[in-house]
Amino acid sequence: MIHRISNDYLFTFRVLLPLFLLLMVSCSEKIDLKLDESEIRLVVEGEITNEPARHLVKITRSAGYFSNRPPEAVEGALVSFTDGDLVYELVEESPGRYVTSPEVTGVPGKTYTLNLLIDGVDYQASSTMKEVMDIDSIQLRPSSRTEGVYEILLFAQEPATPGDFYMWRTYRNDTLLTDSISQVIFLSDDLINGRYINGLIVQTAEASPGDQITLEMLAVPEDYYQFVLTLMIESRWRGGPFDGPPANVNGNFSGNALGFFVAYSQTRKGLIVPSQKAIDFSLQIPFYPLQESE
Amino acid sequence: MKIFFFLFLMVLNLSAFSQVRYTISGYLRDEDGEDLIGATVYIQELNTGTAANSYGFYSITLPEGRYSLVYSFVGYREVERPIELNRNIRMDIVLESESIEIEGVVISAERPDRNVEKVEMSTIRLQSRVISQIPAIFGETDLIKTLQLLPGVQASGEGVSGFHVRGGSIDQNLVILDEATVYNASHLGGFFSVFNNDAIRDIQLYKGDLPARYGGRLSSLLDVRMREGNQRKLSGTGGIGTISSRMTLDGPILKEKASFLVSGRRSYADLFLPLAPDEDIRNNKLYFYDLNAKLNYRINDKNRLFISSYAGRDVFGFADLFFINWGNLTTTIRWNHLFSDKLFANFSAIRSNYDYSLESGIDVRGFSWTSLLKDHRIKADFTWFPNPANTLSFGYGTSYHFFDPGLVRGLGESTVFNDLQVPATRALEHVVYIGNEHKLASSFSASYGLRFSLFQNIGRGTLYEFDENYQAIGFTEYPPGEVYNSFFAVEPRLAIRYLLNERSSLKASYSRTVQNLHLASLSTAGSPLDIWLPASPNLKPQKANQFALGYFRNFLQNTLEASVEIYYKQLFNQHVFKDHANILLNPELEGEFRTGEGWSYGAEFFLRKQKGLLTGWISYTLSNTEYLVPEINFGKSFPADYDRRHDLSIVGNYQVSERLTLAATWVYGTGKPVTFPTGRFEYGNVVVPIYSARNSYRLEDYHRMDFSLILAGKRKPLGGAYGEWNFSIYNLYSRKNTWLISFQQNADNPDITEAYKVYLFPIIPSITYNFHF
Repeated sequence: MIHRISNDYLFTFRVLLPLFLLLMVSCSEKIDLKLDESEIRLVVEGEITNEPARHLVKITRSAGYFSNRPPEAVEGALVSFTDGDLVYELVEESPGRYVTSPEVTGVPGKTYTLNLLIDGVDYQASSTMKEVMDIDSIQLRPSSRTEGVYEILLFAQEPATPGDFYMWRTYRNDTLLTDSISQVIFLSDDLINGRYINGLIVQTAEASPGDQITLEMLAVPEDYYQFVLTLMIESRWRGGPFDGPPANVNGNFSGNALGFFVAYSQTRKGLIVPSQKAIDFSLQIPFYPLQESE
Repeated sequence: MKIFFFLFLMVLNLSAFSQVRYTISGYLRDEDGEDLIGATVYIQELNTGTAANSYGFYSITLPEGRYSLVYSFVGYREVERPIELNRNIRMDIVLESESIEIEGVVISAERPDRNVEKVEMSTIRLQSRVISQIPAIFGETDLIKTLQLLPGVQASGEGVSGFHVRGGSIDQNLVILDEATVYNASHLGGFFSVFNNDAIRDIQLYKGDLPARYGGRLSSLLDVRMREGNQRKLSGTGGIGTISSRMTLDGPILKEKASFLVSGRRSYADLFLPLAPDEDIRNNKLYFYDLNAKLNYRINDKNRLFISSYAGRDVFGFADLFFINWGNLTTTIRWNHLFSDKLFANFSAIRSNYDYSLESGIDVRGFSWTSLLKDHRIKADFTWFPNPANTLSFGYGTSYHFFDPGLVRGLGESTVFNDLQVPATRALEHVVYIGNEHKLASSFSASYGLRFSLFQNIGRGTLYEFDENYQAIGFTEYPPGEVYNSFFAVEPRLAIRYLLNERSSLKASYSRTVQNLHLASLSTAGSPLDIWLPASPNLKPQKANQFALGYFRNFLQNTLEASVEIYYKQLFNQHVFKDHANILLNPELEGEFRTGEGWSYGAEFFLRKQKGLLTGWISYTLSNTEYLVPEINFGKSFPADYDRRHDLSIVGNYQVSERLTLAATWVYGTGKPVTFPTGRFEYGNVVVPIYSARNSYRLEDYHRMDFSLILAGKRKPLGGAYGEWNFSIYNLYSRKNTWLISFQQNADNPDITEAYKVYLFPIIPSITYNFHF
């Protein structure tokens, strides 16, 4: 029985305490800071899902903290993954971006291992795909705070097994709105395990009447959830006196490589944004934000 | 151990040799009936003396004869009493404060001052009136911030009331208010301490040489004593400040027999919220309050009863979204009893509570979270004054600790949340101690003692079992009352003083301390959601050894006190959180700790002037504090977050005239250690930092000057009401001291990372009006 703190509490903790500080007179100014540079390391961002697609593995290099340019792509790597039986080779579609052939489909329950060979060095990472619960339905509700923003309410039966971890992304007319991992909402089932999720706000989307809004729900392994959580803690959420000591964000690669290779399954539900009058106001649930999102 | 038994035997021997001896005993008080803790009695003929204990009681046994007794205390006029000692004498003495007529300051006679003469070292006492004259941020007088100006004491950060003593962490300070433990001594996320100076008489900080009577924490003891209440007449003190207002009322219930004190303080920034144009702001709540109350009853010459209580709370609400409140509640009932004029006893029953609760929202996502920590303690302390050469203290105490780290419930019927209960734990702690303050020769004194503690984890409780990777592999639940784990510890304490001459002395001390409670906190600032947890098979008790050496010297007829102390402290079983520890509502919290050791060494220089028109001190500390935890920072040692190489404070207070006082402080310190990234990588379109070593960079040096001007109203010769304006300026030259460095991705070009220096508190003037009647 492992309880993990739900993001809700983390959110409270993170939003509440800085508010104290707002009451204090605090000012900030940009400064020049000279920092040492650590060794350059390999960075991998790879995934395989339960849907047929050109699954992507991105390989770049780390840089000095104030390098201030896009990461350098790593070309000419040998990239493949295996489910234990079959080996899937990836091809370099553009510098540093390696993809599978479009029919490759992951299967929940299977463990996938990514193998990289770069400059004569092997790197490896494994991830086991989880099954995702079905979405019964979603609803849209205009945000009471910001004009043109809709909250997306989820209705679904959470499975009785503990240890499930979810992420939610949104699309507007097939455009990914949550194009940075900092905009993805993620939650563990700690406090909702086995319950009927009865209108939880899981994402927000900027949209106009007539737009198609799609909610994508991912079931991810626990280590990936922890990786994203620590990544957020070390990047977008850092900057207060109540933060813990800074620490490195460690992924699942062997060797000295950074980043993560994740296998996940996903499902989605879409809705057309109705004209203002047609919105069902019978659902009178007061506003409450899910968690920090950008 | 043997040496102690030998020394105790010597005590008995000494009394066996006695001739016809009589005892002089009594209480030392000021004119309002407040006990004068540590005030001294000096017998000129014998060149010996004693000091009042922590209840103002003194006792000295001498051969028959004629003596001249001198009673003195810093800030009070000396009293000399000739006596003919041919029977046991009870002599209660009232000393008058000398600050009322500053022209007539009497500098005491030429004899070693207490600073040089007393055995104890590494300790400082401050009276509340000294604290009230030091400039404070927003004019909020704060005893803990005054402590931070003393050698060996460091502030956790800008403007906060967390403090570190000789390289110890915040939770290694035992803060007691009238003997009750205060678990969270700060308001408003650390910016103000919970102590309302008007209700406080004095404080004493022990930085290492802890008497055997005290224990439970590794690094320090902060003993805060509330005032007893005026025995003569009804009086009041109050103030209207920038952040809060205060009111204290005290006076006799039965003349010369019983008195009371009630004191309250409340912040009122929130009272202006309804004026805000934004409805969301109007619905916010933010305030704190403190209530102190004390009853003091002298039943007769032999019995006294005290009841004191403190309640304080912070309340914070953000529109309808969050509501959080937290606070301490302490109650102490004490009974002083004189078994004889040589044997003083104090029996106490003490309760301490700390709790918080948090509520959020009322829709399907609403939840409440409550947490409670409570302590019940009974103890008996004895002071025995067998002869002038020995003062023995011994006693016994038992505490019951209850920890309920958190219960979370979803609110309402349509809640999406299950309940989450982190199992509560319970523990018993038993203590027996004995100590002696022993004058071995006219120039050589020693203070030594032993403290035995037995800590027991008792049911109902849940004990998790962890594998070598700190993963929980199971747990055992124990039924109520079952003792499932015990820790026994012996803590020896020793201090010696050698008088080089009348003006200087050498002192040395050793103390071992054991701590059975740990604070789980990720922040260095202290937050209301901090969790205390007991020692257990997974978290061994913390232990420390401290060695100190000191040279004490007084100049200019004891008007200038100087001291140099060096110390070395070893810290064992230091529990530090692993990287990215999950500390909130985690039943397996013990698995998030990694255990290592720490050490701290330093030199402290202190020069203080307590008499005359110009008073104040200069304090300088040179120190180094490091930790070594195998699983953290690649197994290399790293500086503690509160490690400061240099720390200098200058405090000056000048009485210009009877009505005008000027005060200024200047502090300087090495910047605090910080961890900065040395590389970065990109994942999911977010720039992520890479770190190479913990705390390997330093913020720029910190310095700041504060100033205050106190203008007292005219005082009538017979007393009566008077007021006092306190104008203060915090950060006089508006130094932009770095509070933290934050790194941000440029909004236009996310590939560019920028560093920002965040600073708090530029120049902040404030006005406080205080009144007394």
